[in-house]
Parts: sequence; structure tokens; C-alpha cells
Amino acid sequence: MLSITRLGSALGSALGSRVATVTASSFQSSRRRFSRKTGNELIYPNRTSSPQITEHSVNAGSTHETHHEKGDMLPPPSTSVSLPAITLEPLFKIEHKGNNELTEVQITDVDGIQVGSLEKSGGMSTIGVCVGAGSKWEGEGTRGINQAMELMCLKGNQEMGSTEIVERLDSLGSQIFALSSRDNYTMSVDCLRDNLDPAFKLWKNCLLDGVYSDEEVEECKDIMGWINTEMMGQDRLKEGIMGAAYGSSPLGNTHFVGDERQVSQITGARIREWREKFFTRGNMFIGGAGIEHAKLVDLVGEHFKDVKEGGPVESAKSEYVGGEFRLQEQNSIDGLTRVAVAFEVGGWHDDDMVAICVLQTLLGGGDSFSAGGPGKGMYSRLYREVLNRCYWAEAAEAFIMLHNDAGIIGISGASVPSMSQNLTFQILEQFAKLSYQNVTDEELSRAKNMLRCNVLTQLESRQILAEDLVRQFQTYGERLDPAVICEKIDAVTKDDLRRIVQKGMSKPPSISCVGPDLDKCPLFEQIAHIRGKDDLL
Amino acid sequence: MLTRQASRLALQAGRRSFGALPASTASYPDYVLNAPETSVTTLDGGLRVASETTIGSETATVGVFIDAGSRFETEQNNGAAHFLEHMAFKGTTNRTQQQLEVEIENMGGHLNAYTSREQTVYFAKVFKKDVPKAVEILGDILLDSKLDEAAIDRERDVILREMEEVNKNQEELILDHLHETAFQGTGLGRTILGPESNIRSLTRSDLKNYIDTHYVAPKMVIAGAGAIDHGELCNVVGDVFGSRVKGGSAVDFPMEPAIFTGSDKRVRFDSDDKAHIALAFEGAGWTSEYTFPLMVMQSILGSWDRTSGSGRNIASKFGQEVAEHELAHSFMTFNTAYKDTGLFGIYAVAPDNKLEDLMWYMTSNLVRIVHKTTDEEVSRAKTQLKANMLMTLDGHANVAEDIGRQLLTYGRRLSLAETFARIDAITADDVKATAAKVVNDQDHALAAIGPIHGLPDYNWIRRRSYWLRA
Repeated sequence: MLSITRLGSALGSALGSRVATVTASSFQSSRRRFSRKTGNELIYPNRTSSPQITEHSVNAGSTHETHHEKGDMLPPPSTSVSLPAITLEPLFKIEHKGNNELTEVQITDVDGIQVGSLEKSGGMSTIGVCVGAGSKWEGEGTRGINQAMELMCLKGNQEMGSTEIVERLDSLGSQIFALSSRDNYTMSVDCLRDNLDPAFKLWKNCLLDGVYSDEEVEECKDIMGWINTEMMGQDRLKEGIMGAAYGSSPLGNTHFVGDERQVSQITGARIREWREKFFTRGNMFIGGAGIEHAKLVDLVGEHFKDVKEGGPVESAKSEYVGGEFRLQEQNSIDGLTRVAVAFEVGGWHDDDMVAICVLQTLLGGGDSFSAGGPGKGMYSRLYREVLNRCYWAEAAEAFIMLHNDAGIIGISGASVPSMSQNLTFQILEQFAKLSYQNVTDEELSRAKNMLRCNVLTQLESRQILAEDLVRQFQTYGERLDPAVICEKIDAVTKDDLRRIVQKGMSKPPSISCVGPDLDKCPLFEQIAHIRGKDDLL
Repeated sequence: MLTRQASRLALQAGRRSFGALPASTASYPDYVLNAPETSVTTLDGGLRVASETTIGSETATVGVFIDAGSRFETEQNNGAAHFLEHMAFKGTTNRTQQQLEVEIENMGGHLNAYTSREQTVYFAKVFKKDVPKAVEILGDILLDSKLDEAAIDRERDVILREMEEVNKNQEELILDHLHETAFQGTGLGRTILGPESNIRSLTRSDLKNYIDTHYVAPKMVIAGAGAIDHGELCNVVGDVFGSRVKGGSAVDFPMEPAIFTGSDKRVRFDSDDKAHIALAFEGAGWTSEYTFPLMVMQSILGSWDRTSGSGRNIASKFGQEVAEHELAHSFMTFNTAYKDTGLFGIYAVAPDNKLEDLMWYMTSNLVRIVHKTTDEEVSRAKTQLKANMLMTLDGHANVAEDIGRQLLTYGRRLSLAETFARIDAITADDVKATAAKVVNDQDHALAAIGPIHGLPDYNWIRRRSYWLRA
């Protein structure tokens, strides 16, 4: 149960077990020989010296009993347990009362706050909120404020300090998670049903009542600086491409602010002011999974009655411009250069939104050596046409970054620095090909099935369900039934995919490069003209 | 409610009998009793089928759980269970590797597997309508794997590369070293991947023998969760596996007993920047009366990471001390159970100049549980334990795994009510008694890697496994 093998969450990621379906691309190691390393190199990789190994064992006599003070040992106060072992016979007979699960989301407007929930069986409840507040609204003086709020989500309020909040959460069997992004701010609480009332109250306190003392804010700034220095290449690449794609418009703001001058402007007063402005009735959506709807409505009515009126806050529209981001890393961990190239697509409200997701699944990809069996997309485009063919490609994976009014689809990859030009052109060729050549029926149908399965599998989880509920409310003002999403997936055609890529390529690309050596990464000015196949010949 | 139940039971716990546990479920809230039922059917030959249905779900996970893993291997064939799994995905007499992969990917499914020391698991995540197909494919890769000689040779390199990747993870490596020293000379001491020499030399017949010995009906459970109809699942399992897996009695497969040896293995790399240390005592087997109190002990000691949001504010006393004195970058308490034994201990990642202090606080917090466990911390740990258990049941794959594992380890699936009753019944005295048995004046096993020049020796730590009279 709560053993070490259970700390990993899903099947197979369990610690103490070895996932066997590791695959190497390049159709196994015909081109790569992995077996050159032997002995200690395999057991203690990444080291230049040999270890000094010592082994002792009590039985072998190499360790002697020298702890002579045992005679004075303090005897244990209790030496036998009053509990039964687990036998084949159940302790008692259960009379199942039947299933209380519902399959339809119930929605209520609680004095201007939309509240939606779905009852699930099981002893846990998850409640989440999504607020229309994010880093795209940040400006001079408020840069980094959303990340700061996320990091301080468990800090103290007028009623109790941070230590007490954490201790109470622990004793309620509860956890609070916060996540800030460019478009919205979510915060959820997971708790045992028995403790729903006190956990809900704590969660509400954490969401709306933090005082953000000077000391807490200063500590948070240190952590923000540290997060910024420790950021992995992959994350910098994705942050970079947002700036490249949207320039100085709101979505181009960095979400992870490390600049000392900007961070220094964050104060407790500014955070509270921000909260006053954004965390209002009409800009907040609450959802629950594994909870009776009437119960959730009552809790919201009781605890949110003092929240101010208000509605969504307008932000300037983000314009896609295309451009570049280049960062030479001083201390690269793996010595690889990472490149991402992206083109413009629509956002969450675009009619093509579902088709964009199908396109991402069809491109697929991942790492050249990775765990996971069939189903991870080993027959997706990027596996078949890049990872299995280019021995030097360490990774190639499609990504989408969708927002309310804009979006991009891109491919990121990694290689040794000397091959980063080839990598960039491989990525551009993949897009170009999609713009003039239809995908096959087989790969379209495969991508649709995989996407459908991923959507439905994700929603098995109570925590993800609650998050999905509130995000959809915040984005669309309603929640699309999974069945409706599946129908939309079905309706996607190969013409849709070609059209999306053609349209995206009618504007310049965005390119982001991060690595120890960027000499071989093409400059934006060298690739800005590329609009299709003809420009690549 | 449950909390009330707990305090009532606490009063009765003085009696040394099972009277501390309720005889009925009348006092439990509805959600405990509304928990879906696990249906279990034993087919002719001893193959068990177990499932739990989620109403309204469109997806399901179905898996084959086999009572076999690296501990059942010998020195000569260590690594066979894991090697075999790699080969299961490399084609069968009915499907080539590519056909298998394309079939799964085209239907939007997932197929995966893992091996642990005692269990081998193959599973598929699929749409509701594809459950029969998933069972058929699982049967095919398990029972009709082609084990092509050339494919076996190719796979050696992939496994060696995997070995390198696994060993880059210091946590994995240190737990392998811990098993190697704690259970030296026995099956549980060997690694899952096996030694390099075996990976290079295992033959087709080694793998074939392993299947014939271990992939037999009484050692297998087919578990499903989600959009599953139990009756249909039984029928399709009967069709696919029924006549093809060997029957028999589970007692026919003797197991080498695990013997815990107080010992340590230290791998010193002065140039590494962090020391990794795992200190463990012999824990309890799956079905032991100490199993649940050990889980409570694990919760009391807790885990902590410098980078986690909670910072210094954690309920674990050991965690507070580690944070306050900056003794480690992170630590976690582990409690691994096997059939007849277990490992209970703490794994820490620490700077090289704090190791003596770290070991002093670590041992003193372990022994503190023998003497000074409070009702309050036991009550908090019990609530956390219940929450953690329920949290891990989020999603069909996790539920299917829980069903499969419990059937292999307990022989049945404990109802939520029984699990909670067992946790509710634990008192501070039970926890103290458990710590007295596991920790107090006991030999330990230790594995350490990195700049460990300042790590105290075996006897220093052994001496601190008990307290002296004041």
C-alpha cells in the first residue's frame, strides 16, 4: 500500500520496479551500440574515477559488537500489537449500498459565481477554482506577481500562520495545489470527505485571505530567483518561444520572472491589490469532483459571500509576430542544444481548436530512448520520420500552446550542437510537408483514436476532472461533455490539418534555441522567409 | 464519523484481542459503503479474474498480474523476468513486432509492463469496446511470445542502455544496493535487471523455462477497472487463457526464504556533490499484523524536500529538525513489503559535511517512536494514511493495479471499510510496539553512495538503535 513501490503514481512508474518496454529509436541499436560500456561504467555512469567500495556484514564477523552499553538499555514501554494479521477471511461482511456516481455535471449560479460539480464514488473530494488572472495582465510593477501568489499559496492570514495552515492540512489528510499561468490561476484542494468542511474553509483562506507579510514576500523572491537560475533547458526553450512568437504583446511576457529589478517591485500590498482586482465573483469559477452538488453549493454560499462583485478583466489582444529567442547556457547538464520552431494557430475559441490537437497527436514524438510501450506514439510522424531516421536526434516532440485569443503549434527537439542546423531544417520540413501533402487515412484515424483515448483516460482522474471543469468554465463559460469533444475529434478531416498548417506558415516562424553552443542554429533572418516546400529546396 | 470511531476504538485497545475491530460496518458513512465492489472469480485451473466497474466510464484498464519477479530467479538466470518482458513486445507467433505496435496505436490504446522483485505486470489501457481485444493481445504476448534469437541478441544492448539510465538515478541505485546488502545471498538481494554478464548471456531456453515455471494459472490474476463487465471479462479470459495456461496449486512453487543480514555497502566517490544514504531495518511481510502500524510509522516520519512548497512547515518532527539544521536536501521514509519480510527505513540526500549529525537525528527519531509516540501524531498519521491510500486510487490504472496487487499479496481485495477499520484500530501503543520490534536494538542495513567520508561506521549507528536508561 503506502510502501515505497507505491510512491510512483501510475502503473509502471512505481519505484522499485523496472518498466520493461523501454524502446530505443533508430529501430533498435543497429546504428547505436550501447554496449561499449562495461562493469563499473554501467553501474556508476557519468563519473571519471573508480569508487572505493567497502562492505561489512554482521554475520560475516567483520563487524564486532562494540556497543557494550546494552545492559543499560531503556526497555520499550510497549511490546505487542493488538491488531490482527491479514488473512483470507474478511474481517466483516460489507453490505454495499450501491453506486452514487453521476455522469452529468450539475451547475448552479451562486450569487454570480458559477459552481459545477460531478459526483464520483470514493472517499476523496477535489474542489478547484479557476480565476481569470495571469501573467498576460502583468505590467511594470506587477511582473512576476502571479508566480509569487502561486509560491505563497500556503502563507499566513489574519487567523493563522503558515505553519498552522500546513499542520492543519496534514491532520485533515488534505493537500492544496496552486498553479499560475499566462491566462488563469487555479487552486485546488484534495481532501477526505469526512473533513470537507474544515478543508474547504482552509482552502478559501489560502485563496483569498493571505496577508503576504514582508518577510514572506522576501523569502518568496529568493525562491523566484532560485527557480529562474535552476530552470531546465526544456522550460527555457518554451518560455523563449512565447517571447519570440508574441514580441511585446501580453502573451510575450515571461511567466517566470527572474530579473532582479522587476522582482524587487513585488510587495505584499501590490499582491493584495492584484487580488482585489481579479479575484472577484464574476471572474471566478468553482468546480468539484467527488462531492454532492448541493453540499458544494452550500459551502460556496457560506464562505464566498463576502467576495466582491466584478467580472473578467480585459487585456490587450496578443498579436502573433514571429521572431527568435537565443540563449547560450553556461552550465549545460547534458551538452545538448535544444531547438523549437513554431507557427501561429488559433486559440481556445478557434473553430479549429480540436483539429489543432489532432495535428499535435499526429506529429507526436518524444525522446529517442524512452520508457513506455505501444501507445506512446511510436508510429507518430516524428518517431517515424525524425527519431527513427536521424541517429543524431535525441528528441523531437510536437507541442501546442493555446490561449484565449491566440495559439502556436511547434516542434521541439534536441541534438549535439553540431547538428542543430540539421535539426532545425528537419522540423521546418515536417511543417512544410504537412502544408502541401495530405496525411494518410491511417495516421489520421490513429491520431484521432489516440487523442480520444487520452482525453477520456485523463478524465478518469478526480483531480484532473475538477481542474478540467473550472478551466472550461473560465474559458468557455460552459463545460463541454467529453462525448461532444469526441464527436468534434471524429469530424476533423485531412483538409483541416493541411489548411491549418498552410495558414500558420503564411506568417513567419518563431524559433527558440537554448544550449551550450548555438553557432549552428540558424538565425531568424535566415529562415524567416520559409513558407513552404519551395523555400526549403 | 470515522474520527469518532477512532477514539472509541482507542479506549478498547487495551484488550489484547481482535475485539478492537468493529464487527459490522453500521457506523461507516455512505461513501465507504458506496465504494464499488470488487468481483472475483476463480476459473478452472486456478486463474483468478477480479474487477471493479466505474459507471459511465468509456475507458478501462486490464492487466495480468503474475506472482513472479526477480526474487524467484537464480544466480544463473537473474534478469530473465525482466528480459522476458522486453521480448514480449518483440513479436508473437501470431503478430510481428510491428503488427503488434501498430494495432495498439491504431486503436488508441496503451500497452505496457513492469517487473518488480516479486511481481510481473502487463497491462493495457483501452476503450470500453476494445477490452476483449486487449485481453486477447495480453494473452498473445504472454503465452505466444516468439522469443526470436536474433531479437534476443538485439535486445541485450537495449537492456544495457536501460541499465545505464536506471543507474543514473541515484535513488534507484541506492535501493538496489540496499537490497543487495540487506538480503545478501538470497533472491531478494539480486537486482531486477540482473548482472551485465547475464544480460549478455541469457538464452532463449532460459526465457522459455521461466515462462513454463512461472506463467501458470494459480500464480496469475487478471484484474480490470473502469468500463468492465465482470461476466464478460471472465468469458473472454476463459477463452483466451483458459485452456492455455498450466493449472496446479500455488503451493507447488517453493520460494527461497529472504534472510535479513545486518550489514552495509558504502560506495565512496569523493568528487560527487551529494551523499545518498539509505538506512533500513527489517520490516514486515504483506499480511503481517505489523503491516498497517508500519504504514502509520512511515507517515509519522514523513518525507521532506527543500524545494517543496511546504518549506520548513511540516508536521514530522524529523522533518523539522532536518530543515532547521539543514541536515539534508531531501529525505523520504520508505516501507517496502515482500511476501515474508520487508524493508523499513529512511533515504536521504545530504551534503558531505552534515552526515554525522544527520545520522544522529535519523536514528534518534526512529527510536523516539519506540518510546514517545503521542496519540496526536498517530491520529494525524492515520488520517494522512487514509488520504494517501485514496489518492493513489485516482484513475482506472491505479485501481486495477491495487486489485491485482492485493489479490497476489493478500489473496483477496480488502474492502475500503476493512482497510479503514484496520487503520482506525491502531493505537499509539501499537505503533510503539511495532517500532520496538523493528527498530529497537536491531541490526540495520545501510547503503551509501557519494562523498561519504564523514558517514559514521556500522557500530556507531548500531549503538544508536536503542536508548539508555536516564
